Amino acid sequence: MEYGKQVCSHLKEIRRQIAKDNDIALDIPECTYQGECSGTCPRCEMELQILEKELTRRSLLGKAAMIAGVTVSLATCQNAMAQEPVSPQKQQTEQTDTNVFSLKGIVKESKWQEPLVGAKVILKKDGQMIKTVRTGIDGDYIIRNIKKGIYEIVVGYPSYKDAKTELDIERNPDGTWVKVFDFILERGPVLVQPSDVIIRGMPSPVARFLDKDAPSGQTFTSDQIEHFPTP
Amino acid sequence: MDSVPFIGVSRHRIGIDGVGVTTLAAFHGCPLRCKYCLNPASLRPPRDCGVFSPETLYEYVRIDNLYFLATGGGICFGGGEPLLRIDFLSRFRELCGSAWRLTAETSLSVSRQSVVQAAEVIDDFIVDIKDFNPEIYKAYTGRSNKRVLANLQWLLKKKGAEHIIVRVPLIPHFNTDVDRDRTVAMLKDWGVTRIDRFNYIIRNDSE
Repeated sequence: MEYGKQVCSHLKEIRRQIAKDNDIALDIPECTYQGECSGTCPRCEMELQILEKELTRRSLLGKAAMIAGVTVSLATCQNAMAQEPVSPQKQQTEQTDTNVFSLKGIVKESKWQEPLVGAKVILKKDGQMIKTVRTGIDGDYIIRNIKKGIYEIVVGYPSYKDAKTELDIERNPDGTWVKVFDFILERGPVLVQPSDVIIRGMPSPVARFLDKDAPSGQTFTSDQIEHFPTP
Repeated sequence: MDSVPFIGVSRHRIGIDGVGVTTLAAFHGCPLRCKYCLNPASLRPPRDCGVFSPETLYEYVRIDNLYFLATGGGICFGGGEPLLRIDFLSRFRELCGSAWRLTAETSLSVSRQSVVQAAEVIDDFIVDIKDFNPEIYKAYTGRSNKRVLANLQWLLKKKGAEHIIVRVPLIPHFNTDVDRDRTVAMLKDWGVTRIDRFNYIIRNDSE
């Protein structure tokens, strides 16, 4: 059934149900119109207005309306909007225990210097993973309760090359216990499936790379795709 | 309140903007400049746009009141970017009361204050996240997605995942299925439960 007719049929059923639930004698015949339908017509609109007026009249006389199995009053439709209290944010405090340290920083991407949200930051010692955290909404991360020693930090994000560094976690020269290290990630190679990608009938950004004498379909290798300019 | 330009009002949408029968009211104006904008009329000068105040819009759409009540539907505000018109939305809520479901289809690329105010009057949010990757997002829209992600996190805490649908598009030439899968994985990590994957279809006139 054409979409408009489907909508009309659905809305008609709603009107019939409302009339039935509220004992409103309203004749709602099947539509015999054969042409293109937008889902409503003057007859449908008239039926709807008759129902609305009748239910409002009954509401003003103190009778409730039954709509979709729920009793509603059409005479008064306004209610106050309740406000929910907002939970206070937790305050984060820096580690002050002299036996352990914290490592924090920000992870960004290299092109626009935008923070990378949800980047994985892995703390390793002697090849073993000690802790993993993810960056927050500002690309920020913090790893607490780190014992003194030499660690490897690996930062990863989808489509970007991993960044790695080795850090000697110990008390800073100024006496503080929090190490700060930021990471900038470079874009990695474009990831494609093992087989080459065939691009057919694509619009202008790709078209200028097509050999004008080539057939309308052309295969691009993953190396070629990597060097397409960004739009 | 003054009238504002709309690019269109579409009645009798069923199951498209969430639950029930809805009317879509699409505002003019958007902070993004997406390469394949789905509603480019929202970016052109508003000469040919109709205008509504909250009062005149309410009078126009209230004809479908019974359908909204019977199906749990209501008004879906889109555009354009509806969260640029917060005062309009607040006033509209005062007029229609709590019986109608109000939905906002938004990019969330707006101030936190706008999101906070919208959360008070809008029941459900449909968020087109584009892509989680900031480079892809900026290449496609011309703007950073930092504010978008911060607003989404806030909204998840404030409204709950059951009131937020996040739409994740496959955008030709900008992201891949792999990127989209990663965006979906990140969203699930954040607690988003209603995720709608879909594809942008490029029309010839937008090339």
